[in-house]
Amino acid sequence: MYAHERSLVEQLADKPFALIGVNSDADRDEIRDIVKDKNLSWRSFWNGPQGTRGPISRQWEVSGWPTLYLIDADGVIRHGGQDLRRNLDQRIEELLAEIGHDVQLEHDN
Amino acid sequence: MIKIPVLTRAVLVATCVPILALALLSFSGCGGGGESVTFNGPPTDENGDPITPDRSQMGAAGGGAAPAGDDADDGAPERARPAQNNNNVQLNRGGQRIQRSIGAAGPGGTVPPANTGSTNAGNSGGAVNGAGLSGASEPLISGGLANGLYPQPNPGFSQVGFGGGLNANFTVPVSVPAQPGNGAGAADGFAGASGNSGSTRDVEPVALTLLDRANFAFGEGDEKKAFQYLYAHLLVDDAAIQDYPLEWYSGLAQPRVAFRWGVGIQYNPASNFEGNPPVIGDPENVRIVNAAPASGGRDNRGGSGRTLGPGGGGGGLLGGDGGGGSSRPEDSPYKNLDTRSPQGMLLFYAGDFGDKTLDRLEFRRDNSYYGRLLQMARVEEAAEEAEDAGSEFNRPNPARRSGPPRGGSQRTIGAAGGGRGGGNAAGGAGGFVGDDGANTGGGGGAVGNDAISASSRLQELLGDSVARRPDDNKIGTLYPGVMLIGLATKSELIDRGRELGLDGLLIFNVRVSGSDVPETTTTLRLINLYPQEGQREEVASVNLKHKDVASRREAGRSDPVESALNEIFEQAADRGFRASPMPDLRAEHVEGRVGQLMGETHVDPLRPAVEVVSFFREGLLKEEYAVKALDALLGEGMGDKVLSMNQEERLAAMSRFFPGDDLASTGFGGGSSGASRVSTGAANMAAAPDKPTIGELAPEIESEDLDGVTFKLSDYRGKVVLLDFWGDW
Repeated sequence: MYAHERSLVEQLADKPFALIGVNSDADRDEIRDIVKDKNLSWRSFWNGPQGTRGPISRQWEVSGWPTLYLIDADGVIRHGGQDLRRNLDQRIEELLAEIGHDVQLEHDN
Repeated sequence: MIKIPVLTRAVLVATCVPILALALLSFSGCGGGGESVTFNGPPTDENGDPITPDRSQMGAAGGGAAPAGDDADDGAPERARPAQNNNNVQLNRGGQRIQRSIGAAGPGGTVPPANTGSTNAGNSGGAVNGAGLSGASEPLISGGLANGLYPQPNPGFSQVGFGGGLNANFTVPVSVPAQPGNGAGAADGFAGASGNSGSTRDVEPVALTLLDRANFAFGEGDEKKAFQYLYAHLLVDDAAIQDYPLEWYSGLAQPRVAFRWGVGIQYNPASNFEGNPPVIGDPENVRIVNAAPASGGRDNRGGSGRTLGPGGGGGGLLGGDGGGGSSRPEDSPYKNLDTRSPQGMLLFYAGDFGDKTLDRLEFRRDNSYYGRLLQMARVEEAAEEAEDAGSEFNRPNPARRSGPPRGGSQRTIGAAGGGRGGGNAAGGAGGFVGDDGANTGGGGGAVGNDAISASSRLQELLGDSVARRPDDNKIGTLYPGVMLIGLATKSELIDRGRELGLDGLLIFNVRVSGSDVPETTTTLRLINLYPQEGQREEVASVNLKHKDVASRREAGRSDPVESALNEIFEQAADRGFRASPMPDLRAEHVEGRVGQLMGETHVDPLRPAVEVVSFFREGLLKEEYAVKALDALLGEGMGDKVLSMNQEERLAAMSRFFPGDDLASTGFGGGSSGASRVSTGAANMAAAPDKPTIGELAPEIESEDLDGVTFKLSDYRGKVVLLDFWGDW
């Protein structure tokens, strides 16, 4: 699952795009090590020691993992849910196009 | 007295069984020369702290009785326990929406004071029963893998063997089981706090969660449906499946999220014996409770009610140690039992032997022996049934009674409010080593050990009519996780237990002689519904002659019923039928296990589905295998749905298992704790203005990153942001 995200981050490195995680592992030290090991370069909020029941996922009504939301440059949630994972690349391209960046995402996997 | 299957000491050999039904799963690690994994140092718990060996080991090392307080002192960090909210849920007649009263069962709420600190408070007084014995003997429930597939940690062994291997050898590290749920004071204090308002207030209606539905099904006595809901809850809610992980039961050599008990009756009166069976706890064990006119019953009932008041009167009637009740020789406490309830049926045949058995089970349930899921489950009741319960004749069935205190679950429910913290804190201090006293001694203060628990349950069960022989086929919830499975022969009961998806049985065999003064003997059998190869289903049994029980009690000696239950529980059931940490599983074990599950037929396929999903979430099973297994267990196409990230899709997939129920109105989220419940229902939409809504501004997040540096989501305004809720599991 990290491969796709890593690929997005790499391909969009010079675009107005950010991948922000909300990590729901209860043990922050452990996940920090994993992030280091797996070279996950994007920044994550930590959902707190309650793990999946932490405050951020609660506020966002997340009860399935992973869950994605796509937020446009104005801070408006534009997509979320099952469809988003299927069409993620296309949705990102669309939102970037809205602010004048034409991108064609490609992935190895 | 106890029958113990003779076992050889386990050897360090693991087994792999080729799974023909699952040729598609690669099954590496089996067949060849085998691999060896050595046992590296002391096992640790999830915090990395060493797990103290369990009590049986302590007993073995010390060669004597373990100190009563060892559970409190063992230093083993406690597992987080989900908070238990005492939400009182009521259905309206439409059945669609509910009123939820939060904190109704808090200390000042509707739970009667009698509940507070009742059963568990007595733990500190527990005698050390059998602790010394327990470590000294062979494991009673043990043996090879369940069908050769799983490594098996055994209490009392630091390493464990796997018998019956077919073609491979490798050693596997196993964990020494920690003691789930002991020293429970702290966690339960927390649990109590969560229900702490102590006052009743109505909040807006919310949709029923699957957990709510399970609790209602328990309230209806529909144990099977209740468990389907519990399993569905785990399949739909990611947080729940994390909160209630698989745990290991060495007697089954299988994992479960919940261990399910059945209690059955065998009844063998002599052919010339008429009337109702004499029971243990009857002041005159040789007397027969004949059907009598209702007026007589009413008179007697007055006497019973007075004498049997919990904590009052010295508990003379039941324990035989006070003497107050015996002035009315015709006044059997079991005379006016309402036998329409499962509890009533059990007490009708098994008297206070059955009652104390329920105490043992309930204590263990409350202390996580049978999985944390069952600690959460409770009996909830639809509001409309409360009205019926008021009629004079229709004494409430304790499992169905409205209002917070509910028969067998009464203490549990009361305890979930303010009472629980206190009660289990005492348990922690005293340990549960001697739960002889633990289950019976508390609450009543000066009351004799034997009397209090029996009288409290019995009082719930007294009716206005004379006890009638219950329907042999009565099946229903005694309390969540323990069901009565009726009266039949042993083999029929075993079949019934399997059909009902149970794991272990306790069977009371009541035999009455045909002489003028009939003698009664009750045998309690412990049955493993998943015996391993070469083992019998009957793990242990113990006989009690009612006459002997009565005379020992008269003489003020230790209660034979308690000794018998120690043999069944502490020396047998607690060895194999008690949750312990999962062994260190590797992918090949898991694949083998999943292959096995796919090849079997299941009375409730949601249970193995939970197992598969748990393995998948743990990273022990590849997604493609998980999908195939779920397709095989639940139906073609179900794998993708159940593993879908979309909760509503998962919920929709569950609906085929609940025909006639409208799952569309089901609430989601946080249901496992009750504390973070959210709902998809419209009623909740207005409550929180900062929920994420497509087309609206994203709720702000301002929080620490993994390095502890605070940042904000809005820092990224001007960029397209992919917000990814993720976890490495």
